[in-house]
Amino acid sequence: MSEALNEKNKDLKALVKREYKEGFITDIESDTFEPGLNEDVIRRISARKNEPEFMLEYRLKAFRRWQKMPEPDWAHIDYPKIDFQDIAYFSEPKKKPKLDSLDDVDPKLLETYEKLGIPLEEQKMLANVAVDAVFDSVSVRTTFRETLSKAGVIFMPISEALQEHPELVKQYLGTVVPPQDNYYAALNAAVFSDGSFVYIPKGVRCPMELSTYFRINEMNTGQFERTLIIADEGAYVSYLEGCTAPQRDENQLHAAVVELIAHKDAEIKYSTVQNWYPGDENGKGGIYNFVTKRGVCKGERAKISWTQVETGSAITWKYPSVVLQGDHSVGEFYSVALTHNKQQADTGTKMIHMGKNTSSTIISKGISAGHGQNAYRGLVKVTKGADNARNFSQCDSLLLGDRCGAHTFPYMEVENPSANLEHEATTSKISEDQLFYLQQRGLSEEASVSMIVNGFCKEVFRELPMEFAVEAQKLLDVSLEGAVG
Amino acid sequence: MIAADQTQSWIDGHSVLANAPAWLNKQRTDALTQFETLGLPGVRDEQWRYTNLRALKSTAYQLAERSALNTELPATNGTRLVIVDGYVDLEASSIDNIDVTLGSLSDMLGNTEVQAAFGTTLPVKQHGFMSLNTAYADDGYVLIIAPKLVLKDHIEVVFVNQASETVSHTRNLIIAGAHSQCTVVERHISAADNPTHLSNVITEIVTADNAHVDHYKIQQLGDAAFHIGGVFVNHASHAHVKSHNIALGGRIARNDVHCNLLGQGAHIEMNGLVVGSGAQHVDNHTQVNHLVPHCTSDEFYKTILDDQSRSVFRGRIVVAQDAQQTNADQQNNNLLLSPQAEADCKPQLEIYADDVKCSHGATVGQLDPKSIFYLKSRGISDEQAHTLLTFAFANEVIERVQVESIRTELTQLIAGELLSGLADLV
Repeated sequence: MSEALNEKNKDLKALVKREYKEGFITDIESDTFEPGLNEDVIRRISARKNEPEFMLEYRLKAFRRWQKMPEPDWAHIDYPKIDFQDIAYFSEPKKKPKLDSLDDVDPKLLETYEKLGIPLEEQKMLANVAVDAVFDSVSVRTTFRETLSKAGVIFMPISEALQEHPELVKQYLGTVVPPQDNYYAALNAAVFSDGSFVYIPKGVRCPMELSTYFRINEMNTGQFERTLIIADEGAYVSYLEGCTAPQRDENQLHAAVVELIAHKDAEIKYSTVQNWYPGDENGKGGIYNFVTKRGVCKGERAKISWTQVETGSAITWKYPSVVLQGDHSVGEFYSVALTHNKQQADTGTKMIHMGKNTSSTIISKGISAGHGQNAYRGLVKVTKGADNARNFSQCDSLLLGDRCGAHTFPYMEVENPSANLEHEATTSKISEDQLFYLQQRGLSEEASVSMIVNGFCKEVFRELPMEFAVEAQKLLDVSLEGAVG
Repeated sequence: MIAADQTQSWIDGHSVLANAPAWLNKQRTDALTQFETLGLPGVRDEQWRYTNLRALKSTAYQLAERSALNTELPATNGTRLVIVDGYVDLEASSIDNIDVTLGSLSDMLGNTEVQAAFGTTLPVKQHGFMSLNTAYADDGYVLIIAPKLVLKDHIEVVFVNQASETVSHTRNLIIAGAHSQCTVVERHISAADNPTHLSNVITEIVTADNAHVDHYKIQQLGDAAFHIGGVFVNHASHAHVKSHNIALGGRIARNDVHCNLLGQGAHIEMNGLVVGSGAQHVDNHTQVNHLVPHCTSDEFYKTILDDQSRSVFRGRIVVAQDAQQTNADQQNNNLLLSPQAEADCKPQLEIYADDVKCSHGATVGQLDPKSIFYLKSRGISDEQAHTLLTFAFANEVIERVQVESIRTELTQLIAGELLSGLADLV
């Protein structure tokens, strides 16, 4: 027993010292625009993607708005100013493969996925997951397209959707996150490269979990994903998003927009595991993650649920929100955010109650270690007509080390007296008693801490699909190595 | 005449004090310079986003002048200092019956303790009204408690707003010596003709080691009055301060209660109660700065809102990097009685130390239907059940009042304020 534990400790020690495993650069010749942003660049992006006219108009309008907007500075984060002219706004692997089987995929790409631990074949077989792998903006391959199309589900890159279903994209794009919504949403609307488009028709329960792996690869390339998911009346879909990125010295910008639309009786479950390069111990490098995610419960009894596990990125600025428009609609937000070394996270959610008898739940778990700064920022708003709104929020923070910070900034705005809102927050370190108990049962300090942290996050992990929950736990362990003792 | 919405108008209206010492005039001019950059707050300022000052700003104000009290105050046997439109009125006061240094700031500017304490508690990040207070205030009360002096009876300070369309800036100072104990009750009232008066009142509390100060602020201004208030506390080691902030009146009332825990073992208790009705707007901002280890803070704010009244609560707790072994708790509960009422709350924890226990809780809602049912099943009418439970909600704050006479008075006040049906029951 003790030998096995010693062995485990050794493994852990090795993990402490390990380099960021996902940090490698795939050497594929890319067709990349030179850095810089102006209307010409946007016209070129649009032309390259052979987009319909309305899309170009949409982009240009957003760009003109963006130019007039000030960069937000209210978040509890600190970073050098971004030079938006120093970023290349388009990049794709040159040999664009249109393939039917894995054998035709560029072997180097396949190798990349292998290193990341995403065996496409295996996932297809075992997890019954259709994978739309985004490699630097352009989707390389899509699997299970057929099964899905039998069910009537549309799941494709948004650039293809613009060719095949322009009317659907036009109808919904920007209705949840309009281009003028915020600085980064406007930037995304102007230059977004690609992303996923999902449409679940009326009454269809999507036959499999949908998943996309995003990967930032090109040097100096900002990644601007755009995801649009529509669940029509009575439909159900669970969508998974997982991310890793190669190690780099220069900071990379990621400004994605995700829009969810749930019609009457529909349910969308959106899960994220984010493990982008967090920068080194001194805070050098790492991804800037400025994301706008929002869903609308349009019809009665619609439900949107966000689950996120955020362990990567140098800076996370992200507030997945739900607008509860339909009566009896439900919004949920489950989050684990971990900051270590010099990582900074300012994340949370907004629940806007508009319909009658709406309810929302917020469970947020923040873990700070090293010099990490972790902030929860959330808003629960109950508008005048939202009778009997119900919200429960819980924000817990765990501090590991005396140089980290944990902050909570919840906002509650209530304009209706029938509302019932509860918010509670606690901040503490791991109790000596718990540690002692586990250690006197023979566990090492690190194993004990890991166990306690996993227990701390359990409420969120159990919302994740099974295979993601396992990955998330591993991620947490690895991200926390070196934080204890 | 000062047009309240114009920054320049406030700057032009300012003048240096002829008989004041140089240190004060320097602080005043510095504050005015600061105001020039800050300007008056508006809804675009994060700390004022829920408080629209349009009604306050649409008035043009004269600076209030020294005048005699023209309102009758209830008789008292205790110590009472009266401040009329920002100026101490010694005629109307009865302060000779107590053996402490209590008097008017303008008379005590030569005092070295006053000079040492003045302006030391103010937050680094100020809003425009705070700067204006420092720039303009030339009177207020000063209370100096000698070391080891324990005052059994409380000291009452009554602020009367009398002249309409005037603005008064008042600065008060409580200096509590080591091991001393005192209780100060501030009352803010309007004269009977309900003047449109803007009062900008800051009370600074500076404590020495082991000092105990109980501070009460009972605000019962008329519904035409505007009030901007600040209570700022510096805690020395093992100093215990209790701040009770009871807001019952005013058209717009804003209160900043901040404290700096500067000595180990210090403790702050912040209690607050808002009872809003009509078109009242009450905005409470509290901040606790845990700057050293082993300090504790306990915050308890409750709000009851009827009619179209609105309340804002922001409670911020900051735990600095070295403030280990901090214990901080904050509770904010809001009760909405009318469909037009609105409550906004913004609790904030900012924690940079790891060995701490911090928590906050906030609720917005209405009376528990089960409790109402329980009472009704015991033969109590629906209306009385509501009244009783609403009172019980407020009473949790009143129970924290230590001075019995004030507790009784508050009980009656609250009962009278919103619960006409209660009289038969208690």
